[in-house]
Amino acid sequence: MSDTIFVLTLRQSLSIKRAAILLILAAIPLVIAIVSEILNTDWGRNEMQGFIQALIINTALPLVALIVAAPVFADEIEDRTLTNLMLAPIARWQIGIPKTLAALSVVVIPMAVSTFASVIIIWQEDIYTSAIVGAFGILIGAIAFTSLFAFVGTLTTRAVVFGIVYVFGFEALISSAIPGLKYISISGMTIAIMQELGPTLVDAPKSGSNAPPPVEFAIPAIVAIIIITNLGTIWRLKRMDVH
Amino acid sequence: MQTDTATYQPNGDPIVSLDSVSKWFGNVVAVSDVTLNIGPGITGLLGPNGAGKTTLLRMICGLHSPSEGEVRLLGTNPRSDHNVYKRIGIMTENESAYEFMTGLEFVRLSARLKDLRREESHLRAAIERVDMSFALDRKISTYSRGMRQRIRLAAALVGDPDLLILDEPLNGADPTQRLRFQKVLRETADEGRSVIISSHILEEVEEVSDSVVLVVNGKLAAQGDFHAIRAALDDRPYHVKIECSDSKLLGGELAKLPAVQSVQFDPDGSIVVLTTNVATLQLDLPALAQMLNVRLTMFRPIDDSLESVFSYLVEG
Repeated sequence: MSDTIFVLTLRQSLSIKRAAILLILAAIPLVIAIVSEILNTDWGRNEMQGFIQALIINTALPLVALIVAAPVFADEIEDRTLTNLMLAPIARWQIGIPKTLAALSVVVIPMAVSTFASVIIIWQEDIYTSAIVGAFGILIGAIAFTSLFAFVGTLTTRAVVFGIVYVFGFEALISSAIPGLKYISISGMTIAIMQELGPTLVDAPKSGSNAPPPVEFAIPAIVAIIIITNLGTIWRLKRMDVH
Repeated sequence: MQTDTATYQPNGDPIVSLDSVSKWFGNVVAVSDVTLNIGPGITGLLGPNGAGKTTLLRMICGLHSPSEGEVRLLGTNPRSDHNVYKRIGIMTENESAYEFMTGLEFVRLSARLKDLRREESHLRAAIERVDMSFALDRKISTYSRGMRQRIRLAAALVGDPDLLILDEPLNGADPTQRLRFQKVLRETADEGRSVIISSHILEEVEEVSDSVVLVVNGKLAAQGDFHAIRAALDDRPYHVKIECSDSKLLGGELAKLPAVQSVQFDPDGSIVVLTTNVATLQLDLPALAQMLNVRLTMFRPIDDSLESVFSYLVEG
């Protein structure tokens, strides 16, 4: 039954329009990398790290996660198709987890492939280690972002609006401007973990408003976000009145 | 899947049991203190639009939690025991189906969600039963409203459920589809299964139901054997408007008839009669008019709407 819901959600997530937006967003880093290679652009270490952090982790990844994960429940609630699942003889977690996992796979595969390939093209040292760290960082960040946006989709059918404000307002702007807020930023936690695994790929500042939290904080914090949001999704599915 | 368990209820428990159930949304009370038991057979849930039927059915199905009270479906709480859905086919009021799927895919999804890895022939049989075989490979987005209702009924029927719960299933159905729907419901009942069907149209439910539950303004107005409720309805006083060539003469004589409780004269010259027996009045009136040499131009019950019928039952 869970596989049925997983496949159903894949089909929903890969509608032509949504898949096109998703592929365009996921392809942006790869296109930039290919173009810079063709033009023989000499990337400095700072530019390359900015490319990974600002473009991929802070912007492309949360946006792709938002586009895919926020509608996973919100659209079903709005279209009133969620009744088809809620009237099935299955536990609520068997609805929530397969749907979130399906969204996660749609987010991770193009983003991880794009990041992996981009790093291979433009990186100059520890190429394969850096590419694997990049793809792993995408996986960690994607799990957290997808879980968060899917959960928000169970709370409001305007999850996409919330997500846009969150991505551009908090993740991209406020968390970088106000010292300490990176501690509660998923991007910040992801960067902290990537920095620990591959210092050549990510070399974030140790202090200042842009400094990510220490990895000792980032790992439990991101795990907590993943667990809490997924439990929240299941809790909402158990408690909600379905119209 | 099962047949001998179709009407079996442990300890003779009712199929559906509501105990002091209420539901409110903010300040709006949708269902107020409803206590009822529904037994096997076909039960019609009747009430005017906005009476609370859908909210009641949603609580019975477990889609809504009651604000107060307790709901038992096949002896269990559907909000916590989801296994009960293996024995139930439900068709909700809204036309919720996945637009990108074909009809066959939608019915297959319903089967798989019930963990029924059925042969394709079983799915096709359910679709055939609702006369949708001709469109099973078409996308649901291309279906008419009536076709959507039928494919959703096929999805509800898959797995041969003990109980079918159908919320306004005849909405959007043309007369032919209605007859087919009613035939499917009767077949389902003949197989020993139970059906709860909601409607705001009395005659629609009268055709198929053994018993009815009447809901008005979120409250239980009446429940029981359909014929007993019909009899109660037959005793209710009706206002009848009569237009004729001599209102004063006819009105005076009408007041003497046993079936007439009161007579009023409207400013437009018509007579409004309050009667407890419209059928008798319909028989007596022409004879009386002929005797008085008065020409009748109109005879019309003026409070025959379903809402007024329900109101009568509530007040009565």
